[in-house]
Amino acid sequence: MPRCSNGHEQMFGLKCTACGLPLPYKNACADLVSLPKVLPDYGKVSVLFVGLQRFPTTADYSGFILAKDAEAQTIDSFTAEKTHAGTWLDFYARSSGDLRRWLRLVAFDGSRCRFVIVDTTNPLSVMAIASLPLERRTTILAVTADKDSTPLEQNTSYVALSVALKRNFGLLVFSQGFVRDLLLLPEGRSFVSQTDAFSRIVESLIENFDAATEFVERDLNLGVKLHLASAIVSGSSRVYGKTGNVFAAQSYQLDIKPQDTKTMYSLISCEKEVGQDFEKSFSQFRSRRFKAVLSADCRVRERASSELFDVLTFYGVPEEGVLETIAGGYNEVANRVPELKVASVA
Amino acid sequence: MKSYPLESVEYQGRQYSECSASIDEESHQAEFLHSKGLGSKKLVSIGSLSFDDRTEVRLEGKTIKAGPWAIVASSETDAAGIMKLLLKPKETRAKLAGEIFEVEKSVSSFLKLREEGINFLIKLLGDPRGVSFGLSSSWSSPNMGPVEEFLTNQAMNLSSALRDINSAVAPLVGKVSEEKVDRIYAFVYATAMLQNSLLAGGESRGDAEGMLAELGIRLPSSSWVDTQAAYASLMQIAHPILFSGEPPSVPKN
Repeated sequence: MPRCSNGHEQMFGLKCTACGLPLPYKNACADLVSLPKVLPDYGKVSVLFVGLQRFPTTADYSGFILAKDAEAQTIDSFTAEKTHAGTWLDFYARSSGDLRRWLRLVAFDGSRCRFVIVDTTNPLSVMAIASLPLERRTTILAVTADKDSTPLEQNTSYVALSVALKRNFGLLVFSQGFVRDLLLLPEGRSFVSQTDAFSRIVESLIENFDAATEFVERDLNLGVKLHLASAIVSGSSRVYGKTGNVFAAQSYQLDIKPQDTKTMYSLISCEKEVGQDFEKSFSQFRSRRFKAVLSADCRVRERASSELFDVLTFYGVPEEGVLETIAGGYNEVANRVPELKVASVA
Repeated sequence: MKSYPLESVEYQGRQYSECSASIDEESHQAEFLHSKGLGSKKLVSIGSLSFDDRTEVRLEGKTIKAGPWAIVASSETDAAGIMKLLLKPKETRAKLAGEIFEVEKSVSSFLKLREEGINFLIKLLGDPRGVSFGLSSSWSSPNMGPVEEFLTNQAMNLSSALRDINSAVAPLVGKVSEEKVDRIYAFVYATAMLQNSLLAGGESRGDAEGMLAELGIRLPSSSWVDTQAAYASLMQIAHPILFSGEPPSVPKN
């Protein structure tokens, strides 16, 4: 800012309004080399899909990582070149540098929170998770291999999960079997496909991004990184009866053992009238079945008049249990190809 | 003051021999003298010439034609020396015009560069990811993001452009008034504030326009700020006001 020889500062004008002396502007021009500070708005939510069919979301930014015959980059997609061998290590070794650069170019870390929706049985998953910027408020929604998956899928999933845990990301885990069996009856009363059903789960998560991120961050502070997740989309009281049955059905579906459970959270979208019912039921269910959990919470988001509700519940559990279920396939592959081990990822 | 012996002087239809010239390069005055009589050492004045940048001066061999005077030097070397002195005001003015041109060029470059930066920021606010991704071919630093790198380079370039202004202005000091030199910087500052106001939703725009008006510069229309692509062109509007009484700027040879 210009200043007269008496030291009076003034933003504009050729003469000092305080003492009438001329205002020299030469020194003030030095301030002009810095452009004004601006705060670009990268939006509230970024979503990155890895190895999954793309579907539209309400996120401020959606990016996709996929593999095709030729490498390409656009503002919303990173395409790695397919390899002949096609293991996670090939993609990781060849394209993770480019992916890291692309993620910075599209400012994936710019939004207030980030979700990575990843099929961890897909060979792109390891490269994707290893390349993510290390930012808090990044939640990975992972579809994992299960007992029915092939050893190679289990190996890939095991490495992807291990890398995510090592890099301290919060994880919500759906098993491949859960996603495979997804079928729902939405408001239109006709069955929808597995992908559509999964997209509804993701959308439910994005709609509740603040609460979901808050819960995952809280757990990271408690040292709980991994959560088993279950979702009921377009549920109705005609099917479930009392709202408390929804939580019981979900814990039963996941085969959750109270002694192994560290935390539990629910994100509920329902009409206003049943919101309080859900909150009460969640509290009762926790006191009855999961009294010893470190943290429990639920958030209800009102939706326009509809008898149907969405409930996404996730339980913080020890990491070892989930990894154990797929360790067999991981070891089987790693014994044959020693490079396909977690240690190969820097 | 420099003196030269002359073979002859022709002035107002009369021819004088055994002459000399005394030329004062500070006051731009030349006095021509001749011997009063044959063999006389006493010199008397024929007349004097006030020369400036508009005085027509020509050299043909040893003969110099300057306004109403035709003088024949005693050698071609002397003729060249006299020519140099008589042409000095013209050269000085041409030099000043060249220096003003350099100032205007450097100011225009600075404002143009700054305008590019402001336009970048406007685009960044509208489409941050698009702008960031658009930098993919130029982004090279592993330590900075693409936008941060662009802005850092922009600040470096602006810093260099401001140094260019300072270097261009330096030769003017002492040749034009201090007030005029200050007004150049005031113009740069006010125009930059006008550019900034585009980002701040028009905030301070009135103050910046007011300051330009105080300098005597009026924008062609009230919508000019929003529509004019090149702020650098404001320099053309500003020239006759900032440099009134000075020669029009011309590129240096």
